[in-house]
Amino acid sequence: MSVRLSGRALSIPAAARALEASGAGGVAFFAGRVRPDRTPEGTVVALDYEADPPMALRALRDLEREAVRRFGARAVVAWHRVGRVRVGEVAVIVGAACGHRAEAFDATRYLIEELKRTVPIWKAVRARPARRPRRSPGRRAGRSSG
Amino acid sequence: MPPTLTVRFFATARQATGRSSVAWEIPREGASVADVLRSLGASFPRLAPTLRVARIVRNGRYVEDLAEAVGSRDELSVHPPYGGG
Repeated sequence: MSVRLSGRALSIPAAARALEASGAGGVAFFAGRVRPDRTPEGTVVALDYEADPPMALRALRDLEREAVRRFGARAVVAWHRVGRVRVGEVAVIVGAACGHRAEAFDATRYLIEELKRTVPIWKAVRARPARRPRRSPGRRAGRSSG
Repeated sequence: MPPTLTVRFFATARQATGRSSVAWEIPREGASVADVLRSLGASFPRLAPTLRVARIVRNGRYVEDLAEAVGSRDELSVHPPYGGG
């Protein structure tokens, strides 16, 4: 069983190893990466995550216990980054090792959906403002014809 | 000196107040969590919309009833809606 709030990079292989160690028949996990979405402020370059650490860790442990109770999980990972997470980096990994694939998938889906809903973690977008098109002197901005 | 409690702000609540925590005067003897939130909203108008949707934590436990009384050793945390993942 493993819950974590980390200011350092999250390792997908390390999460897989933590789940495989249980020897369970079905292992599933989800890793969420920061996307370069376009927002009104510009293109996302990073997300700044903050947490209320004692409450967040308690909530993650509650999720872990619930995954065991509901889905019979033999191992659970629920790891989340805090601090600045750049585009392409992993912000969250959740997963479960269960008797069969159906429970493993269900537990993993449960973990990520409940994490987003119940764990006191917040994100703020860091965006690079879009460049404004330059206006040439004496020409109207916009699409040129021809 | 009037009794105070500690209020911690996260995310949009911190942005609205410009502070991560304050020592806040308890409005009156026997004041409730709701009374404290009202006085915070009056002093930080930008905080008011967040207070309407926030979860409040008192000494490490979610507040279920805003009518419960607060004391000078209490710590309240203002949790805006969560956004992890």
